[in-house]
Amino acid sequence: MPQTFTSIAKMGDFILKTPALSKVIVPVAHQFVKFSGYRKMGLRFDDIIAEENDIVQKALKRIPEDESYARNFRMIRAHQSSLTHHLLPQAQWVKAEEDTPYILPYLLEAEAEAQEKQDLDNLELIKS
Amino acid sequence: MLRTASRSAFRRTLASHVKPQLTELSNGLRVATSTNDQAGAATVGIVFGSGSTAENPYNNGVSSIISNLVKSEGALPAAKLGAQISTSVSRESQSFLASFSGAAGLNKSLDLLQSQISIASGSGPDGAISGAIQKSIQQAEQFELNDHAGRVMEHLHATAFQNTPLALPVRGTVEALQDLEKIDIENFAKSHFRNSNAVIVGSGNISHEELVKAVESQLSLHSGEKPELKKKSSFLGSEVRLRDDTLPKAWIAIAAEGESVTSPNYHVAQVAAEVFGSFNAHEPSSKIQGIKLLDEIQEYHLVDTYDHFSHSYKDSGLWGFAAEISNIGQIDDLTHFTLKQWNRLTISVTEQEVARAKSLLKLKLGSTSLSNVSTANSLGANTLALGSSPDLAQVFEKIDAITVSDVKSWASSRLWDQDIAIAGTGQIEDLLDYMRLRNDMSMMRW
Amino acid sequence: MIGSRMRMLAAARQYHISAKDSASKVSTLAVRVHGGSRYATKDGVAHLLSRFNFHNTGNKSALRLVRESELLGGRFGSNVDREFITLKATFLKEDLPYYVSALGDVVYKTSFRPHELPESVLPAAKYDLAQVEANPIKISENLLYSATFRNDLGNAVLYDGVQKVTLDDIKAYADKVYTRDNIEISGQGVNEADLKRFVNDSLFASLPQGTSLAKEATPKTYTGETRLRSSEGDSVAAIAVPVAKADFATYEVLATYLSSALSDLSPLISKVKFDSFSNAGLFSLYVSGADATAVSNNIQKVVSSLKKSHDISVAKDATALRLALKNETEPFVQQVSLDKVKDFKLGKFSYAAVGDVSNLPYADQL
Repeated sequence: MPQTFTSIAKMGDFILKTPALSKVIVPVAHQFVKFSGYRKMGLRFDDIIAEENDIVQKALKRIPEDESYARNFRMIRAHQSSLTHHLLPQAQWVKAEEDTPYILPYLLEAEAEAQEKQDLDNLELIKS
Repeated sequence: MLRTASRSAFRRTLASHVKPQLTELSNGLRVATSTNDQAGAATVGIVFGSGSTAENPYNNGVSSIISNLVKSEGALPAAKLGAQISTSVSRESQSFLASFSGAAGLNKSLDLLQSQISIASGSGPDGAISGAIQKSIQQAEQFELNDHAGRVMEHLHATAFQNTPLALPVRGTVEALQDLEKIDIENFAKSHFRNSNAVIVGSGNISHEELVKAVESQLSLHSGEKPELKKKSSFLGSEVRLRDDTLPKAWIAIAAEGESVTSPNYHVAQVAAEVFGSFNAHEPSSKIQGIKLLDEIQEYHLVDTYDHFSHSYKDSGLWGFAAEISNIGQIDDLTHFTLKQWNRLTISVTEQEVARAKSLLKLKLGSTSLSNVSTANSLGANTLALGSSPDLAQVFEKIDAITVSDVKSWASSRLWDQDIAIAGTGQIEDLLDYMRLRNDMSMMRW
Repeated sequence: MIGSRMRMLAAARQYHISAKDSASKVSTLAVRVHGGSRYATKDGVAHLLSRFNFHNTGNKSALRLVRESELLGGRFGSNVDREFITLKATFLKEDLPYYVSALGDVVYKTSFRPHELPESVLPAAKYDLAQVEANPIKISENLLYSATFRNDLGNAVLYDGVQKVTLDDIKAYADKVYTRDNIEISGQGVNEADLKRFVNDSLFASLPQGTSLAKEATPKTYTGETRLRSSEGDSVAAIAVPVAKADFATYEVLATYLSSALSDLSPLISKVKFDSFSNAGLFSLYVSGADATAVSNNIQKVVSSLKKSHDISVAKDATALRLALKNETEPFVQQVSLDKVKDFKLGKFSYAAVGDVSNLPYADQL
């Protein structure tokens, strides 16, 4: 099965619900975030989701205006950091509690819509 | 999955359905009624099997003049009686109807129709006739000037059935209308408005027996043989373009030969047209219909509105689509995707698409019988073409019986790699040439 | 359980349900809500709410509704006017339960997702507005309404963006108008007992009680004149008369009289219209044409003739027929007694001129 945001979110929920799994995986995830370093460039995780597809484009159109503005600001700031080969001053690093999934709900809704359309396009008629 | 359990439990409470009735009188006149005793009003009228196919290039539009004459002369007496006259002209029939409410209306309405038919047959005042001619010329001019979609459909008939009766425009041409005189109208009426070529129709709150009795005592038309058309109409793959870049959009229509009214595949062709149905880009619910073609044409807004049709006449028919396009640079994409979808009717139309089309066709046919006037018109046209008007319940049964393979085999004989007729007006620079479009009627592989 | 039984009984008592059975194969179900533009809290909110109907609901997405509905053989739509928002579904007779429940979903559970407003509702509303703005007769009708009633019935029907309407405004308006006492349900080609049963089983039964917003007090009316220069389409000169409830019959007959061959004026007039509402009506008459001078002459002829007394009782039978035919196709039957109609004489009126107004007369010149 190809990975979708829906399946990833489902897996995440499952891991968080299962203490044995979450005890192992959550620290690994924190390490992953730390080493990937995007927070040090002032980005949130949802900023680095590949946006070149219909689902993400649809979600991006639907996020509130202020979220969209803040996202653009973070991107330009990160590009500037990248250009100058510097990390942001530590005060401007994105803190863990600020790294919230602001696009994810829209992604899930867009995916559900696409899935529903696909299902309805390929209905099977059951003769009654 | 759609739950249908509640439907079957519910069926038994439906009101019983009244079948259309038909009586042939000793003088050859037929009386057909479709009764609805719940209705508050009724419509009676005469439907003749004339219309524009009974005309020729020199008297083209004479039916339209007669229609206007009856409307203008009949309006005042009708209004005084509390009745309402409606007339219509189509390619193969012409109707004169009077709607009324109340029991006394029937006899008066029949008297009114009788006197109007004799006015139409030549006893009308000269002033009224020249007024009706002027009115018809004006209507034809307005149609040419403003109704681009309608004009494209007339052009489509003109090219598809060129040099045969179905080619003539219903409203007539301004050139022919200008030269018509009283004697032309008289002659036309005398040879076409005959017992053998007429059906008396009644719909709404009206009793068949009463209508038959009233017609026998009150109505008399010319007797004589039913006029036969000299020529059969036949389809010819061809195109006509009236490019006009001063118009704001492009209007096009493309059609293959369809089914005649008497064809056993009449309803199959209608179902096939309903598979693609109609689309209006401005209506949110229209944009999410289950039509696969829509996925392809919506992303680049290839079309504003389109409508797939299956028009049937006595000898032949047209099956195709008409579209209104503001994205004039991508008409080629629109026609390509549309015709490729038509190919799918032969090779891969699905069970679901056909089921959807059947339901929507039933809705469409059921909806036309909601008003008395449209019921009366279709009753008359059907009786003239088929001998009797089929009961809607039977029609529904026929539609229910259509399967995917019926649609496929119909499409493979009537659409796949068949000639087409093309018509267009407005900014149609991007409407591809005949061969390019014709090539899209089949595929090399799939 | 007992609670829900009680609620169902209450619903059966309070809904305004009417139905007319027939032998036709197709039924029509209409729900009309006293939620038209006269009740609007902001200009255009009624229009946007009407356009929001049949979008996603808590039970069913718009996509699913359309796809299921076409498989059953049905279509639906929502329309707004000055008095009502009318939701209408036309379908094959055996599908009544499905459409009762679908309409119940729409009035009770529309989700009002934020993205639907810019993606789907606003473009459709904008198109509606463009259609009306391309039609000079419609424009003059709107001008006459606002001149005659100012607010209330004079409110703009369609959303034009002059007052910004937010999603919250639409939601609040929906809560206000979609209440049990404020809606009427009517079926054509439908068995009344069935309809009542299905309504009680649907989400209609869950709507809050509310109160009927329908207005009974006679509204204040004014006479005014408006002129709008426009190069789009024909020139129009139009007059309107506010009508009290007692005079509805006279104006129904007058509308028939002036649009039929009974009157010599009918060739000069493009359109005659009588709209009746719960507490008032508006009679309006339009003269239009490409040539403003001809329009000017015709409206002067019409008005000066109407100022003399006309015996319009000849048009009673024709009016009775027109109303009978209208009741045939429209879900909500309207009864008017025409017996007492006799003479008509034009008094004070509102006036609107649209198009080449330099060549159209002023009200005091009529």
